[in-house]
Amino acid sequence: MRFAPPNISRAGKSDCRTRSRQNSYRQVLLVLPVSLSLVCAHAIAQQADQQVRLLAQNTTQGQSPTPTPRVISKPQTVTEDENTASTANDTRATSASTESTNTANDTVADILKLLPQQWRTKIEELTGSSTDGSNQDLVRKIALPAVGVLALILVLPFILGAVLKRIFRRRPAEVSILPSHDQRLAELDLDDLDFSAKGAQASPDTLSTAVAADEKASQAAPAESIAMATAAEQEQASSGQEALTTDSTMVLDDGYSEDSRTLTTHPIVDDTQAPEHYSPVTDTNIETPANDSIQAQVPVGVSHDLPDAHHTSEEEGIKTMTGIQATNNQEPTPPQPPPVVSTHQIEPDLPKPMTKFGLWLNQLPSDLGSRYSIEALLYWVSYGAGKAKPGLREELNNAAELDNHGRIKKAVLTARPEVLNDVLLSVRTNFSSAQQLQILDLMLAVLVTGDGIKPVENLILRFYCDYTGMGIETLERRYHEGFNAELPGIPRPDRLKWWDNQIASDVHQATNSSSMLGIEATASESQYKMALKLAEHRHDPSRFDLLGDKERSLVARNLQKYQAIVESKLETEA
Amino acid sequence: MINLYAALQLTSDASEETIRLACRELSDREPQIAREAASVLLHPEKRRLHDLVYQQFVAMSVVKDRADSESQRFNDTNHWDRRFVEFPA
Repeated sequence: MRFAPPNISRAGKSDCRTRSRQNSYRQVLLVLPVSLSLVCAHAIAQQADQQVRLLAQNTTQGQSPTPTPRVISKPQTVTEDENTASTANDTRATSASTESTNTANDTVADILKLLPQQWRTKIEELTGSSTDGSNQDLVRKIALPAVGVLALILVLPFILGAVLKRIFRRRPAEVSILPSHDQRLAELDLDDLDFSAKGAQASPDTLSTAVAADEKASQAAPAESIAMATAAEQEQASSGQEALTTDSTMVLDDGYSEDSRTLTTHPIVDDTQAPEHYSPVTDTNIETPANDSIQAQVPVGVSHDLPDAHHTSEEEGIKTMTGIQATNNQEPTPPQPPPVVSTHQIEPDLPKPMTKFGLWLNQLPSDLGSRYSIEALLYWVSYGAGKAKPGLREELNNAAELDNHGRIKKAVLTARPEVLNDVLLSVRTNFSSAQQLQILDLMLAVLVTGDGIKPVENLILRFYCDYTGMGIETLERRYHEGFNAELPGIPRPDRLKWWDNQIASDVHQATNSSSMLGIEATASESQYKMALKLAEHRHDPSRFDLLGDKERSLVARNLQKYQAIVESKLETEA
Repeated sequence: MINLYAALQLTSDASEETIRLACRELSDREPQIAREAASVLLHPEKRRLHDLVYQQFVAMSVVKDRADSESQRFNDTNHWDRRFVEFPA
């Protein structure tokens, strides 16, 4: 087994770059005001000192506004006269400097005289200098520190602001999807999902278990087994008949029919009444053209658009379909545009939900609604693949009161198409493209096991990728990274051979106790370890850093199942 | 995907006996479809898987239709329109 390198996708790299850039911006924002403040303080102090000197000079020399000339030292080879003149100049300069200092001292002393006596006494105690101007270092000891303190007072708010901003800075809006104020609601309750092989065997609803049981039963008493299955089917069908009728009536009453596709506004579907079976296909909505040919009465004529049964692979099927489409004078499919990066900017008028459940999701606080939309999507995929806990529907229908998780499960278990629409809509409107990619990773990690993706999961994940704009290439790449295998072709239930393969593979998986890891039960220790490495790669927390803590903890808990299997295997062998 | 229930003019909760009768009726007009419907829908496990896939096709066709009607972006890399031909939303 060879592991795929843990590639970082373009979206992931871009995301990392964005975060790094944001950190740099924050550092600049912190350092810049501090630096500017210090520079300003230094400049203020210098300016004050210079002004004091200028003032002193003006007072002494009588008012020439020109600055004090700088004394330039002469070279050693000067003449005696020049030396004498230079000494005289130096003396004059020193004298002027002394005078200006004295004047500055006087000025400072004058300013200090304006202060109350108590303050002056305090300053004298602190500096050890007299404030009456007799001390020559008055400027150095009092004025400059005072300016420094003033500058510090000016700078301090900037520093404090920057520090507080750093401490209490908020997470980016797209990251903070978890509420901290409602722990009860924040519990991601996915206990009803059973992803383990053990759980799958315990659940009579799963296909693999049923196939295994069917195989066993057919060996023992085939006739009895078939009779039992038929009875169960009939019982199930009869119990669902009434609900179906109610459902169809309700949907039609709400105006959601084929004709309503032309309407610009869609009615809200009441999803509180959960039907046992949902099927929009009734006698009334089968198109019956005027020419009463058989094919027209039963809209199955398009089956000739699908690949012939003698093709051997899914890819061949797709190619054949494309070829037939070309012969039917249809224009070839144009190259698909690249995935759109930002959702919110392109769809200013967001579509409205179709169900009450969708409205409820929309009305929740955005962080809670976002998280619940992920939860609903996970349930949809899981329940859609037949992994719902047996009796859960009845349990929810009979419950006197449902919490939010129960409400989500109940809505999903109705399997109404409108619920899927609203869940996907919520995911698309509430999450960025990078987060939608991580949601795909989340589904691959916690819903798909090492034994491969199930047909329904394959379908929904493909659809999810197209709906969010990622496209099939993203799913294929992520699947290959996570499972070191190619993504199986799209399910082709229109082909008999596909059915045969499905049943055969499911029988194989049902008899494999280590199917969760995607290896045989008799696999070697190294194979177990390598399978665990793949699982760890799929559950790597960095793949979910844009999602919430609950999603990450769900991933961590799921990884523990894999680790427990491998540990158990290693202990057994030891 | 061929909409077998539509071909048989049945709903997804039809009983085995009902499906058997419908297949018999259809076999006169569409023998191949009737044969396929019988092989899938009269096999308990195949029918169970079929119904799961069928349910998703129904749901996805509605979502796709809604996306199209409201001009939402949809990167159709799986040629859903052709797969949903028999699943009018």
